[in-house]
Amino acid sequence: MEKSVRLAEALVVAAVGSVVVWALDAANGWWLNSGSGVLRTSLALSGLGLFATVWSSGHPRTRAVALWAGALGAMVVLLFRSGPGTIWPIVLVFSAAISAGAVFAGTLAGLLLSKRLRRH
Amino acid sequence: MARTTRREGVRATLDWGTHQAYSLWKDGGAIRNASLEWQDTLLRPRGARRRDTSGESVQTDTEWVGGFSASVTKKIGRHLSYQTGRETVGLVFISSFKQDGVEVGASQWWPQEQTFAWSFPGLTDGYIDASSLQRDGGWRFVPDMAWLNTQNLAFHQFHTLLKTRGSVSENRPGWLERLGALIAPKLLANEPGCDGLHWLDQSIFRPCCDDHDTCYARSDPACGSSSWWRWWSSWQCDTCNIYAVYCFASGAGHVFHRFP
Repeated sequence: MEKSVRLAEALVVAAVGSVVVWALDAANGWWLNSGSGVLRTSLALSGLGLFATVWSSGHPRTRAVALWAGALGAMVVLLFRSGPGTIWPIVLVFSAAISAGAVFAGTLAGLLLSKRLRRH
Repeated sequence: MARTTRREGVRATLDWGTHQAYSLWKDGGAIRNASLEWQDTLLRPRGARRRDTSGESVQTDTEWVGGFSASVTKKIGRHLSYQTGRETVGLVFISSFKQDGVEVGASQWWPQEQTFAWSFPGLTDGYIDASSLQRDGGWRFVPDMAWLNTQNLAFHQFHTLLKTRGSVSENRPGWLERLGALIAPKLLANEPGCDGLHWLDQSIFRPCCDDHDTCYARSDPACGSSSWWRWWSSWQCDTCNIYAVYCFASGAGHVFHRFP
């Protein structure tokens, strides 16, 4: 039961991450092609990271990793769907690093906020 | 005034008009007493001795709207040969490109070396010769004075756009095109700058991308995105890719070590 709950949590959060990345791409194009795209997507992923971990119930760390995996999965599909450029592995490394930074910064903020909320 | 049928190969450009006017002026009174005929791209008195007006030009000035102008002169110049590295003397066409009367760039064409070099500080500089154009069949035309001036305008215009906007053109697809792309995605050709990472086009990583593009273009067989996973097919492509990874990993250090 515990495992299946954890899996369900992860799948839902990963799906949310994928949909958000997909929607931002549909509205603004590939996120690493402009500074505003990077900022927009990073803020969205940080917000989701915070949202996914601010509640201490369940498995916040699993949710954070699932969110990042879902977002990164969508980025890989989107990049190859639009035609990978000549440096696509480097683009994917950047995608993974920046999205990880954004998600886990939000996650850290969410965990700290969660601790604070529990104290009060 | 002369009315003629359309002549194949003749494009009524400003440059052609100038050459035609000069040629008619040189022919002087002969054009009053003789009918005209086409000699290559110029109207000449019938039976007149052939004349190469481009060879007689020593300077061509071109002006565009927006305060842009270029002036190309023909002279004998001295420089370090691009081929041998030794000092050589030879014919050179030097074009100076100005914006509002201030020089913002220049280019040179050395016919004996078949080398074209340019410098637009802050925008672009470099040179090409027949060997670097080998894959495209070498020089497919003979650069002339009008071309030098026009090429200068192109350098300035397109590289200014690259510097300010990160691209020379912008495509804003409508919702119908976006919907269509979901069903049938388009294949994109290589773009100038960092494909998929245009956010970094103005950063220290830009030379990594440009060198990678150049390296890909030079390789035979041609490299593409699939060269990354079909690594066994071409060591040339692998060299380009390894260097690009090293370049990104080493960051600014690369700027001082351009790929040969």
